[in-house]
Order: sequence, then structure tokens, then C-alpha cells
Amino acid sequence: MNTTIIILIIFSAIMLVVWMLLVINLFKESKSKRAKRSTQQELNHLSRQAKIEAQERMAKAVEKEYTALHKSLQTEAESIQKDFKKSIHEVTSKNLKDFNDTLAQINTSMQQQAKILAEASQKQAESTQKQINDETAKIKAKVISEVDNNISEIMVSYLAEVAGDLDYYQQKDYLYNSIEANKAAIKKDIENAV
Amino acid sequence: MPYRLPESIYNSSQLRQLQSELKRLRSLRNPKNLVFSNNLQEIAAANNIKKLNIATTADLLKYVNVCLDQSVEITMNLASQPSIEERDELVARLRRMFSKTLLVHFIIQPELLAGATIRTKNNFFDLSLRNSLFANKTKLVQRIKNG
Repeated sequence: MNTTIIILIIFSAIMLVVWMLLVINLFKESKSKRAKRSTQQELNHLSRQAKIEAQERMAKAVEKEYTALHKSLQTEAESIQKDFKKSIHEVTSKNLKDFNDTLAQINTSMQQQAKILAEASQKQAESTQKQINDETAKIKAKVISEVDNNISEIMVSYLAEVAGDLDYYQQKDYLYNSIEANKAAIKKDIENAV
Repeated sequence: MPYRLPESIYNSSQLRQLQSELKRLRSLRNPKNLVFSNNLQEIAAANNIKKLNIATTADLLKYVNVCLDQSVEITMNLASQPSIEERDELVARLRRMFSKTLLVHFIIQPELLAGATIRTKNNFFDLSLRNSLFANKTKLVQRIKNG
């Protein structure tokens, strides 16, 4: 029994020592954690300040660069604008000159063509007028000829009607004279026929 | 003996009739109470043949044959019919002008008005008043226009 009690006492003593060691260890750990937590906060704080400071510097630097870049860009833009205006003026002037020259050439060419056309039209008109005059003269002559022919037909018919009653005695002299007038030709033809 | 054609015998048809008659006479052995045609009488009278015997008939036939062979016949269109005397005068005139044995075939064509047309072997001569009027109708109109 005593042994058991002793064992129990020993065991209890051991347990107590272990428990005390654990408590001590826990206390140490707690203290260490508390110290660690304080350092981290400081670090966080410092870090935050540094970040803010860095941001401010960055902002200033960016602003400075922005201003410089803006100024540079403005200068460049003005230069480009100036060059552009100059180029535009030169190009426009040259194109305008070319346009005016071309226009002048076209005008000259058109005037020449118009002159040629006018001359050709004049010649054509004169030729047509001449043709019309010739044709008119021909038609007039033809009409007059036809009228004359009709008149002569009427006259001849009238004379034929009048002369239709001529007997041989009345026309004998005419017959003899007409034979006499053609004597040579008739004689020649009769001689050839023999 | 040189014969001549009377003006009353003026075309080849008459000559051929005469030729037939003369041939018939020549073939007769005893010609008695013969009646001669006018043409035969005319040619005999024109050539002073008092009596037609074998010899004269033969001569006349020979002459007629020559005329038929060698004479030229023209066709003459007249505007109006001439009398026999006028026709004979015309034939005589034509023979004096062109040939002693000239033969003429007459045709009456009133539309010629006056004058004649003459057709020979190779040519045609229009001597009519109608042709003359038509040929000169332009001059005629000009004369009318000029008053």
C-alpha cells in the first residue's frame, strides 16, 4: 500500500512538474507572441508611411514628367502645325498653279477646236447652200423644161390638128423642099444600097 | 436599046406583075386577041414600042429582070394621098434625084401631117412636119414666149 501511495505520490509529483513546465512554457510563448505582435504593427506602420511617401514622390515625379512631356508635346505640335501649314500652302500653291495652267491649256484647246468647228460649219453651210442653189436651179430648169415641153406638146398638137386637113397639093412644096434638103444623105444611102 | 421605067410603074410589086405577064406572053405560040395590062401598055408607050412581039417582049422582060435585080426600092410614107399625076411627078423627081430605076413603095400615113418619111435599106429619114414640129418645139416655145 505504501508502495502504491509512494508511486502515486511520485507520479503526482512528476505530473505536477510536467504541468508546471507546461505553464512556464505557455507563459514564455505568450510573452514572445506579444513582443512579436508589437514589432509587426510597427513594421506595418512604417511600411504604410513609406508607401504613402513613395506614392507622394511618385505623384510628384509623374506630375513633373507629365508637365515636361506636355510642354514637349505642345512644342512639337506647334512645330508640326507650322510645318503642316507651310507644306499645305506649298502644295496648294503648286496644285493651284497646275490647275490654272491646265485650265488655260484646256481653254486654248477648246478655243482652237471651236474655231475649227466654226470654220468647218461655215464651209459646210456654204457647200450646202451651193448644193441647194444648184439643186434649186436644176429643179427650176427641169420644171421650166417640163412646162415648155407641155406647152410645146399642146402647140404641136394644135398645129397637128390644124395641119391635119392639108391635102397633098398644099404640102407638096414642103415635101419637095424637105427631100431636097436631105438629098445628099438619101442619095448616098441609096447608092450604098445598090 | 436602053429602056426606061415609066413613072406609073414605081414599085417592085408592079414590076413582078409585069415580069409574070411578059413571061406568059413569051411562052405563047400564037398570040392573038391579047389584052395587055396597063403597066405593060405604059412601059411600051414610054419606050416607044408600037407592037409587042417576041423580040420586044424578050427585051422588055430582060429589062424588067434587070430592074428587079438591081433597082433600089425605098418605102415612102406620105401624109396624104397624091393624085396620079402628083404621084408620077413625085416619082419622076425622085428618079432624077437618086436613080433612074428607083422603086417606091408608098404608104399613106396622115399622122405625119405633111411631108414624108423615107426608109431605105439602111436608114430612116423623117422629113415630116410632125417630126419637124417636135424637133423644134423648144424653139417654138421660145418664139411664143418672146412674142
